[in-house]
Amino acid sequence: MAFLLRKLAHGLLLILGVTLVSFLLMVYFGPDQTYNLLGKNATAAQIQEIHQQLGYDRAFTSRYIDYLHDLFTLQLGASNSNGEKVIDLLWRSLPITLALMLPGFIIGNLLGAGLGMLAAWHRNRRLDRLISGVSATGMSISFLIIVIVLQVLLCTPQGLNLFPARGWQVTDLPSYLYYVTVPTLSLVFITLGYNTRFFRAVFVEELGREHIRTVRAFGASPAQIMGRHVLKNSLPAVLTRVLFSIPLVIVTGSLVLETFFGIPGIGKVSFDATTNGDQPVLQAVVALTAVLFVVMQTLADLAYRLADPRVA
Amino acid sequence: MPGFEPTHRVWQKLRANRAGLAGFALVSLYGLIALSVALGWAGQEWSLVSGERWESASSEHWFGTNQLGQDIFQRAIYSVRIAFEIGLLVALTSTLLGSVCGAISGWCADTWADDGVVFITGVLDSIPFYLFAAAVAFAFQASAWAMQIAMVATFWTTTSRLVRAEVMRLKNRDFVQSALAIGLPPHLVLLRHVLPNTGHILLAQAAMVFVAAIKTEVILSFLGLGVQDGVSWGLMLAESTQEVLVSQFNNHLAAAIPLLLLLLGFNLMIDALQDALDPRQGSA
Amino acid sequence: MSPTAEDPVLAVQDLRVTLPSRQGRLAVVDGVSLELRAGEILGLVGESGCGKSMTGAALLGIAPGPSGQVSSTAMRLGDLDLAQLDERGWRRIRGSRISMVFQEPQTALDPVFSVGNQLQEVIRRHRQFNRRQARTAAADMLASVGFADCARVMRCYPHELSGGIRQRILIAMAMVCHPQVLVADEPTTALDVTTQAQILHLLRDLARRSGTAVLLITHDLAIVEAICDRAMVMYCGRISEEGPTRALMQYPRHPYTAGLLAAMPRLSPGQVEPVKGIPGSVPAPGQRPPGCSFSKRCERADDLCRSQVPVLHGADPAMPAAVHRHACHHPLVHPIGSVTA
Repeated sequence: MAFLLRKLAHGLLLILGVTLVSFLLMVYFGPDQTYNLLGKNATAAQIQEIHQQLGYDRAFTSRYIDYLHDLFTLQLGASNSNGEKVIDLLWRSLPITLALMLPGFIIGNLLGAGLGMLAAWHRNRRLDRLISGVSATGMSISFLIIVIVLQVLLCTPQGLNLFPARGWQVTDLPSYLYYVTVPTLSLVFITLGYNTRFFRAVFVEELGREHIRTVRAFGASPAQIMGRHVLKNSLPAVLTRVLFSIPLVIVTGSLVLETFFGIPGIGKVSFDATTNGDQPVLQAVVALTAVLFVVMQTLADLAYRLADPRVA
Repeated sequence: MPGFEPTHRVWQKLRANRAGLAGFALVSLYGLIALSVALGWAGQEWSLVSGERWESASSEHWFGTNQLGQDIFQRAIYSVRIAFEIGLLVALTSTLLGSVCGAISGWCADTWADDGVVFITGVLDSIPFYLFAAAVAFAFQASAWAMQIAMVATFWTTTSRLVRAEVMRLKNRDFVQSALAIGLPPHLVLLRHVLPNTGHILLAQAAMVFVAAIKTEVILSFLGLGVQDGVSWGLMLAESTQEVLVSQFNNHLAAAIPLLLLLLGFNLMIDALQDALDPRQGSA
Repeated sequence: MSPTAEDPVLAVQDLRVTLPSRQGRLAVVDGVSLELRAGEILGLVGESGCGKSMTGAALLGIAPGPSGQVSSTAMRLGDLDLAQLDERGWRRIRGSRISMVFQEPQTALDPVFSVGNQLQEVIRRHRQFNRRQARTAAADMLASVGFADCARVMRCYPHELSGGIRQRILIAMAMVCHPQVLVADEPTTALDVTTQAQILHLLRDLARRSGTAVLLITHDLAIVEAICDRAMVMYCGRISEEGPTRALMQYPRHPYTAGLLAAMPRLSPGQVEPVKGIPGSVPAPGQRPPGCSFSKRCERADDLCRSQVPVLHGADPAMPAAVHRHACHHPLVHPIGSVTA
C-alpha cells in the first residue's frame, strides 16, 4: 500500500513536470498569439483585450495553475484553423489511430519475440548470426525509406498496386483490411529490428541464469525452458517495454504513417497542427501524451511488482 | 581493478571482429567525404540549378537531377556533411551534458542534486520525442537550431542515466574508497579515478546518439521540423515522396542508400565497440 | 555399509569432454573412468579448473556450451546404455534416474515460481501423476529432507528462504524421482560451516536410505574425509589417484594428493607444522606439459615424467573398485604394512 502511494506520488510529480515543460514551451515562451488571432491591423484596445483573454498580463504561477485546471477538466479550447473543439477533434481521431496502429504493434512484438527467442536459443550459431544481422540491417534503414518502398511496391502502378496509397474510408472489415495492410506492414518492418534485438537480449540474459541450468539438469525440454522459465522471468522487462512503447508508437508511429498515408488520426492532427502553428491542438496533444506516458510508467511499475515475487 | 581493460586487449578484440572493422572503414570513408565537403573540395554545387527537371543519370549528372534540375549527386554528397554536422554536434553536446549530470547525480546519490537530475530525466523521457521536437520548434520558431536543441534535450538523458549507474557502482569499489580514505579530495577522485572508467559507456553512447541524430533528422525534415535551409538526406527523401509516385527514383535512392550504408556501418561499429569494451565479458 | 563388489549402477569408461580452441579441440576431461555402486558416496576432488564440474555435467549428458562435445567408450546406467541416448532420451533420464545438485542455492532455483510449483514440475515431467499425487509426493520428499511444515515451505518463493534451506529444497528436487545417481557439484561451498555439516549428513542419509549413488564434487578434502566412501583426485582433466577414502588420505601415493593433503589446514593438537601450498598453479588447458601434467609442479619429476603420460596403475576393469590406484611414475612409498592395497 505504501508502495502504491509512493508510486502515485511519483507519477503525480512527473505529471507536474511534463505539464510544466509543455506549458513553458507552448504557452509561456511560445510565440505571441495576438496577431494570429487579430490580424495585422489590431487596435491597442483590441490587443489589450486579447492579452487579457490569453492571460499574457498575469503572473507565471497563476497562468500555470489555470493551464493545469483547463488541461485536467479537458477544456482544451478550439483549433485555430477550423474552430473545431480540440477535445472533439482528439476524440474523433484517437479510434482511427488505435485501429491503424494496433495490428502492427501486436504483430511486430509477437514476431520480434519469436525471432528473439530463436536467436537466443541458438546464440552465437548460424541462425543467431543471421537473425541478428538482419535486425541490425533493419535498424539501419530509416522509417521513411521503409514506408516509401512499401508504398511504391504495393500501392502504385509501378508495383503491385494492390492497396490504396492514401486515405481511410473504413466501413467494414474488408475495407479495414484494405486500408490497414500497408501501414501495418510498414510498422512491423520499422519495429521488427528493434523488437528482435530487445527480445534476444532479454532472453539471452535469462537463459544464462543458473536456474536454467537446474531445470535443464532435471530434464526440461527447450520448449519448457523457454515457455515456462524464461518467459515468466522476462515478463517484467517485456511488460515494461510494451507499456512504455504504447504512447510512443501511438504518437511517433502515427505521426509518420498517418502523414504519409493521409489517415486522419492523432498523428495527422499533430502534424497539421505543427505545420499550421495551431497552438491549442499541439499543446493538448503534447500534454496529454506526456500524461498518458506517465500513467503507463506507473502501470509498468505496478505490473513489475505483480510479475516478480521478489519485489512484492 | 578499474573497469577499463588494457588498451591492447581492446584493440585485439576489435581487430578480430571483421564486421566491426568493415563498419569502422565505412564510417571513416563517410568522415572523409564530410571533411572534403567542409573544406570545399566537393559537393559545393548542391543548390545550383544545372540541368532540366528529372534528367536521368549521365556523365555530367551522375545521379541525374531533381524536380528543380539540381544535381542529385552533389546534393547527396553535401548531405554527408550535414549529417556529420548534426551527428557530431548532437553527440558531443548530449554526451557532455549527460556525463556531467550523470556523474554529479551518481556521485551525490540520494541528495537533492541526484533527485533533481533523476526528476528532470524522468520528465524529459516522458514526452514523446517527435512531439517534443514539435513543441521546441513551435517555441523557437525563428531558430534554425530547434531540431538540434530538441535532440540534445532528449538524448542526453540516456547517457546521464547510464553514467549515473556506473558512477554509483564505481564509487563503492575498493580503489575509489581507498583513494578517498587516503585523503584525496572527492572532486579529484571523481575526475581521475571514476570518470575515466566510464569511458566505454560514453564512447558507445556517443556513437549511438550520432546514429539516432541522423535517423531523427530524416523524420524531422520530412515533417518540416528539420533542416531549414540547406539540403539533407531527410529533405531529399521528403522531396522524393512525390517523385516516386511518378517513377522518379533517383532522388530517393541517392538519399536512401548512402543513409542506409552509414547507419549500417555505425551499427556494426557500435556492436563491435560494445563487445570489445565491455569489461564484464572475458576473452573466452 | 561399505561398498561391495556388486554390479555398479553407473559405469563410465574413458569419458572425454572437448572444447574447440585455436590449437584444435582440447580435452578438458581426458579419459576419466569411474564406477558408482548403489548407496556409495564417491568424492571427486581437485582444484578449480581441473575438469571435475564438467565431468559431473557430462554424466547428465550436458556438454559445456554449444560447441563442447562429450564422448566415452562405454557409459551404462544399470541396464541402460547412455552412450546410445539422443537429447530426448537424455531428457527422460535427467532428474529421474540421474540428478544433480549445484553449488549456488541462491541462484539455482527459479525466483518466480514457488518451491512447491518447482518440485511438482519435476515430478509431473517424469511421472504420470495428477496434481494431487504430485503434491503429496512433493510434500513427502520435503519431509524426508527434514522439513516439518511442508505445506508452508511449498508456498514459499526462493528469495524468502535461507541458503541452507534452499539447498535442502534443491536436494529434494533432485531426489524426488528417486534417481539411481546423484551428482552433487560443490553442494556446500556457498554455505556457512554449520549448515554445511547438516547438508552433508542429509546427503549421506539419503544415499544410505534410498540406495542412490552420489558423486560428490568438491575441492575440500575435509568434506571427502567426512562423508565419502571412496575418493578420486583429478588433475588437469585426468584422474591422478583413486581409492578408499581412508587409504587415500592416510597413504597418498601421488605427489599431487600429498600436496593437497599438506595444504589442508588441520586443527589437531600437537600439529605445529605450517600449512604448505603446492608451488605454481594449474596450467590452462592447451598449456599442459607433455607427459605427466603435474610434472612442472612436482619435485619428484624427471625426464620420464616430462615425456610419458603415466597411466592409472592397476586400472584393470576386472579389479574391484575398492582398490587404491595412482597415475604416477614415482609414487610415494609408505612403510611396509601400512598400505592397504
